[in-house]
Amino acid sequence: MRLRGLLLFAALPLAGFGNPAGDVLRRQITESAPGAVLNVPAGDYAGLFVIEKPLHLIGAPGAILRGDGTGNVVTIRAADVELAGFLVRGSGRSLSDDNAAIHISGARAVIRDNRVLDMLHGIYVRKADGCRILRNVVLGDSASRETIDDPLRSGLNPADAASGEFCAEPLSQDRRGNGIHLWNSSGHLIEGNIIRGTRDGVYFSFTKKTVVRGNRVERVRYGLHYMYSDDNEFDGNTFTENAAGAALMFSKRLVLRGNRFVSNRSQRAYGLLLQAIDDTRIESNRIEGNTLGLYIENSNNLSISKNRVAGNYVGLRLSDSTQGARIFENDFSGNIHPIDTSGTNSANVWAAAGRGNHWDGEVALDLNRDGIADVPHHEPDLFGGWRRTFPAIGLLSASPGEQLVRFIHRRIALPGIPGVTDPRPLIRANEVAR
Amino acid sequence: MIFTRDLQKSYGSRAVLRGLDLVAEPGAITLVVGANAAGKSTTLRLLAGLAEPDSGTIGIGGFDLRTQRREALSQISFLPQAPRFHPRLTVGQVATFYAELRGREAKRVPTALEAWGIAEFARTPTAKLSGGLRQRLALAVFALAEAPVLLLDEPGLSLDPEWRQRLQDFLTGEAKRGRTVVVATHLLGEWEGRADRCLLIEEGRCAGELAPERLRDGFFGGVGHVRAAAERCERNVLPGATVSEERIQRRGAAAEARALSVGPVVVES
Amino acid sequence: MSARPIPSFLQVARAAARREWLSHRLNRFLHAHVLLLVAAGFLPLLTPGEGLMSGAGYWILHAVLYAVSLSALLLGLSSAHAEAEEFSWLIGQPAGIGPWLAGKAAALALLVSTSASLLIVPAAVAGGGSRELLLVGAGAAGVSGVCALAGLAVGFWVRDGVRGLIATIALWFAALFGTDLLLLGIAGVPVLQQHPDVWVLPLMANPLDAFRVTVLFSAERAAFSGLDAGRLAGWWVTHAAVWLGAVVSSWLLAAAVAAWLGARRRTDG
Repeated sequence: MRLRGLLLFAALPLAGFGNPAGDVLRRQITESAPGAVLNVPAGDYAGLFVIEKPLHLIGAPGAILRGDGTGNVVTIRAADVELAGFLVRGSGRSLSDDNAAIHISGARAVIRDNRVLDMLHGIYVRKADGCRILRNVVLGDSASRETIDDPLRSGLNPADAASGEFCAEPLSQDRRGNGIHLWNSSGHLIEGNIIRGTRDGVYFSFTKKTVVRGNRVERVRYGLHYMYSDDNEFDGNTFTENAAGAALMFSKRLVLRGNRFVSNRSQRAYGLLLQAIDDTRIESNRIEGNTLGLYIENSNNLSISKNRVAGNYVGLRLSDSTQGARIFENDFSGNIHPIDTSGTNSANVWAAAGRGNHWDGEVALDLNRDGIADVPHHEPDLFGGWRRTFPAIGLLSASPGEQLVRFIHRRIALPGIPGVTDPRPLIRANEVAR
Repeated sequence: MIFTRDLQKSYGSRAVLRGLDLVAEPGAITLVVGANAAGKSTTLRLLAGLAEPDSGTIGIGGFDLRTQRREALSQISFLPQAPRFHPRLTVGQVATFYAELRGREAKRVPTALEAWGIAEFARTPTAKLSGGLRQRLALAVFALAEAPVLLLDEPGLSLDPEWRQRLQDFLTGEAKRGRTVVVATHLLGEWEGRADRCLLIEEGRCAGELAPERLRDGFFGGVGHVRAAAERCERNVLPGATVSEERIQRRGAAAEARALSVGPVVVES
Repeated sequence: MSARPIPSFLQVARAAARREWLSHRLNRFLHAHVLLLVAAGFLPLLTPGEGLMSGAGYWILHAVLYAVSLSALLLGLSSAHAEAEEFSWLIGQPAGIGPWLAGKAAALALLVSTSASLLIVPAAVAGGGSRELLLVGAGAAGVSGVCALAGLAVGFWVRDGVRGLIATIALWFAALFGTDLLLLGIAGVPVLQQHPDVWVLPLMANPLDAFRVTVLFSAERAAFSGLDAGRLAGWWVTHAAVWLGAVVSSWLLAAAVAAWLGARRRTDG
């Protein structure tokens, strides 16, 4: 039976001698009937707390659940638990034990409007489906940037993920966990959360059919750290100022729509990295101001449209191992190198339904005024393979000399320079992308 | 006092001065005269430190210009032939700047401008000055230095007769105050009776000294010679110009008198 | 005769600096330069929303490379040519040409550098202020100063107005495109591929390239993917701001010396 409005303790003392507040709360959790609503007044409640029955734990403003620095502050093992309105802090820091402020292994948990800090992981979902994680604020120990290795070389380790050992980070480097960590589960709604200063923002592994919407992740390592997770949707999220950006690997049937991947600027940061991603739609996203805006490797059948790829060091790096990508109605503006390609990219198309992409700085003819340039656009990758064999060439990035050669090539397609050809370039940037 | 000894100067293969020796004493106005390209202006440029001699010695007020340049130049005020100034600076700004460069107090500037009749133009950019006003500004700057040695290269060309007269009065007064005044000029007639000495330079050497009281007669036959030549051409020449006979060339109805002036003196038909 | 007091180096330099400042108040080149800076400063505001902070540096980089650098060069050239008519006054001063030129060059560099702050003011006021923007502004100021002094040097070496203009534009093209195109052209040479540090050196020495690399990789923090491109390149990218300071200082000094040599050379012309 669900007891609505059960008010706990008219005047609970704050944390003090013998932790009476925490003890009382623990006792109430234990003694409440399944489905009960526990309204927890302001106060400092010393944990740890384990919830093993359906329960609604609603914190009043000023209600603090405080761990003792070991284990999880709140462990939810039962289905249909709601935890709302608390400041949750003080989890253990054991990476091997996956300590978290809120650790969920029960289905359909609702975690909303909490503030989480001083923890390893923020909200950790393990083998539990249908959770709703809404409007929480998760603050890691630091908001500082980190410089890390290239995720393609060392950052994302599929073997670790497969074994459930996600945090292969050396302990000495960092004692931070992830903001929201999802493993081996499905059917979640992650919406309206703010994550800042954790290790990774949102971590996905073997998690399916989840909607991630309207979250903001900033100043973490990977804003989105994502592997082996199919049929998920990302809508209207912002990933900004993260050390390595957002990286998605080994997954399929995703939709990324209306997200912002902005200002991920460390040496090897990506706005959005896709490796071995298949059958996925990427549309109307803004990928701006990143070291490498959009990186696509070894992926198949992507639809990339209406995105604004702007102000990145490299706009789009597209490997020859990627096939069947349809890249159209995107706006490539203000990138130092719009395209980085290892070849001619003949396995991908740069226009669909008669519409290509918009390339800034191009002075194009449109005599019939249909919004499509009358001649194809050649976008050179002037440095091409030199980036790998002679990396110093990158020092000529955005140099007047390089711009001059690029300007000439766009008009007369100098031989021997790799690049892509957009057969139907747009005269104006796509408004949807803006 | 200033002197030069065995002064040599060439521009490329063209020797301009070939062992020039001259002395100018304090308390006197010394004219330096000669034909065009005789080396007058080069002599003054060397004396003013605007150019380096190839060899020879220049002494100014007891200082060797080569080895004691700063001290020697501190003795000199030099008026170039065609003085011009920074076009965007006003008369007052120019004069103040040169006063500062000479360590003079800025409050002397208005007096100097007043003395040369340009006080009312103190806020006028020099680009807007007429040739005569510019020359008077140059004279104000020249006078501001209050140097013991005054060097003037063709002074007064742009001045009207009244200000030319004032210039000569000023230089006469300065000489009487014990200053050394050296004037390179071709307007000999104007200096007759005012100069104390007149040194003739020909082909880069000091070729002799003319009597200062008979300048018109003593130089290439003087103005009378020019007049005679002009009369032969039934022409008149510019006032004050002296023309050597051999340089008068007939050209049809007109005659060109290549005089000791800045350029050709055209004698009208 | 005793030596007359000569103003100190500092006094002359200060007077020259003041004169330079005054002369620019009516300088149309400066007015155009300032207008250009203001216009370029407002360009970053075209970047919408949050992009302002990250995009301002990129806008300013392009403005400096393609417009401000040329404008500053021409400003320096005009500053030199404006003195042309007055050289016979200036170099005959006892303090010599060095203090005057030092003051003039310092004032010009300061004027141009300070006015470069206009590039960042609009973005800063609009909320894009940051340490990085300040770095970009400081770099732009330094590069502008170098260009102005380079223009000054060209002006003193090439006295003729038209030739000076042609020489200045040629210099600008060489600095802007020359180094890049040359290095692009020879990047494939095996010897250079084995010794990338040699290839990098000319790029480092070019102040425009040093500024670009600083803005891109230090202020904008665009990741240079070639940190393993060689020790020198790696050092440069990680110390771009320090290097820019060093290279700008060196070029300021070199340009000032070149201007001094050019001015001295004209004394004997």
